[in-house]
Amino acid sequence: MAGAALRDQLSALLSSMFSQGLVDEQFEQLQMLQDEGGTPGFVAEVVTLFCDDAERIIAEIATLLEQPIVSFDKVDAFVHQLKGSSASVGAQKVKFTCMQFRQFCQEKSRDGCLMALAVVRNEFYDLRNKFQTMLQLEQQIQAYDHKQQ
Amino acid sequence: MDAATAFPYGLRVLVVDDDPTWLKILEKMLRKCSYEVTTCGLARVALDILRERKNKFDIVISDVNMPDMDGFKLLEHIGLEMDLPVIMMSIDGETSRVMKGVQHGACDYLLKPVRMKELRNIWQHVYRKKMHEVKEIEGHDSCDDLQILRNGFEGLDDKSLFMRSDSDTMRKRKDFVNAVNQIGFDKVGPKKILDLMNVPGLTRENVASHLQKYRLYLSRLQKQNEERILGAARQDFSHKGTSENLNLRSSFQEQPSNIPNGYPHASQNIQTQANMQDSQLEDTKSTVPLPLPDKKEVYMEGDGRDFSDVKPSLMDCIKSTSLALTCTVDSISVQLSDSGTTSADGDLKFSSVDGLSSIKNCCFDQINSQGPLRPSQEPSIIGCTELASLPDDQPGYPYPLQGVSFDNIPLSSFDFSHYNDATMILSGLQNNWYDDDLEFSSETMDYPLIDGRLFA
Repeated sequence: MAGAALRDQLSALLSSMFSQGLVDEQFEQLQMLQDEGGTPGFVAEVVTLFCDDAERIIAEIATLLEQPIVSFDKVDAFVHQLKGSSASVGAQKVKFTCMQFRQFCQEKSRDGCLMALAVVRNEFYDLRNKFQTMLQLEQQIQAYDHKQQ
Repeated sequence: MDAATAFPYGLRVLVVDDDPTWLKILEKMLRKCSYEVTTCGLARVALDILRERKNKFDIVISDVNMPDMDGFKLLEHIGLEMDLPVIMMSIDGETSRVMKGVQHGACDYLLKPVRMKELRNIWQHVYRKKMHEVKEIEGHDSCDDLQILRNGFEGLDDKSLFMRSDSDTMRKRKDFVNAVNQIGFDKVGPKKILDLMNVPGLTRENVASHLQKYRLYLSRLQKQNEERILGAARQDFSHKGTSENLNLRSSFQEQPSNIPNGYPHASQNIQTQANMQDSQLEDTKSTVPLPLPDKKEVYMEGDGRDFSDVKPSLMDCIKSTSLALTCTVDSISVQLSDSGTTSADGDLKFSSVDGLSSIKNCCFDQINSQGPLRPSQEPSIIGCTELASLPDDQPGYPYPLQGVSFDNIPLSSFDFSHYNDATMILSGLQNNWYDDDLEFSSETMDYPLIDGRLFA
């Protein structure tokens, strides 16, 4: 695929991510840090770190909710962690779902938490897919540019 | 010094955050500010790093919520031990949290996501702190005492501001301290000092102002001393408190290399120390590893980690702390030998003490064998054990002073005439403070009083 087409695709993807509220201004900041800092792999690195960490946290929460007696404090702590993490990459939707999740933790409702976990998971997977597509496009663009030289 | 290397460029920042993503981002942002960044994912490790490389950092930025240690606790530790400015960060901006941060001594509280411009400005906290320290000690006598803070400004390139080597000044200062010791701290007065010092051209006003500064310095130390002991005893993770006391004790002391007794280096000598129970005061003096010519070596690697498995019961805390208070050499020997022989998961090798009462007895037995320092030691121990019963979460100010009155310890209880420069009581410390052979940092200044008071 031609370089321009790739770029358009990437541009459109990012645009939609912003407009759908998947990512917010913080993500923009990361992009700026990358561009101004002259370190092309920065966003990729950060995004990857986030995805790995979020995956881990979600798994921990799931395990905690499977226990016969749920420690809602621990669940809440993890949700808080995930919230902080999502804020780092500007994962706005995930962040919001975390905030909702914490409500259920306060109420100590296992069902509520399980539901909230499902929502968080969905949002996270959605975002992760988009991030992965974004990274793939970037790689392709880089490869294309490199070939042109 | 050109613009590129001028302050605040190269400001040395330690970032502590359990979130790897944030660590990466903050590191990038801080590097962009031309700061020197060290990142750390664990609060405990951060403390180790800070203890190891005491003077290598200017400021710490830490997240509030961390799994291994509460950010506020870390904040307290850093404030007590290293006296570095600490900035707290959190995604949670609730007023109560921010207030808690301020109460615990944070110099700022940033909300995540943090912006570049906020990070760019953090140098002001470093600068402000230095300015305060200077003002505290400085009188109208100008730059004399700025030299003491010289090493506290290591990180800054504006060393020229504070550089002043004046051997004449140092000698005068030494004479001053000697005079104060001779007269006796509570009886001292400018005229008496002046007469004793017998320095031509020195006026009573000079001496008076210096005495004033000196008193301020001592009262500040006393206050910090109190806070440290209370803070240390209050900790949940009791061993941390213990190791801090030990760290404090073993780290601050610096004696000029010309001490007659030739105090051995901590790492060699401590391990050969027998139980202190029966030692005379003289023996104590000669075996306590005070004068560590190389300050950097004092903080042994194992300090924080060796106590990582101590049961976090307050009882143990008091045991350890009391032991630390009284069995100076024992504690240090435990500390250091542990660092050699114990793995990170090793057991604490304190000589076992059963029950608090026997500790008290142990403490007092040792105190009794140590002569004049006894009166000054008792209140400290009592303070510690009384603190054992304090609940962890005190409302309001984090350092309740119930049952502890360090104010009852008059400085005159130290019988200065018993000690020469080589001892670790106040006069010795005073000499340390003034000695031009010492590499003295602002952190070091904070420690002397603790040792002089609590450890014989």
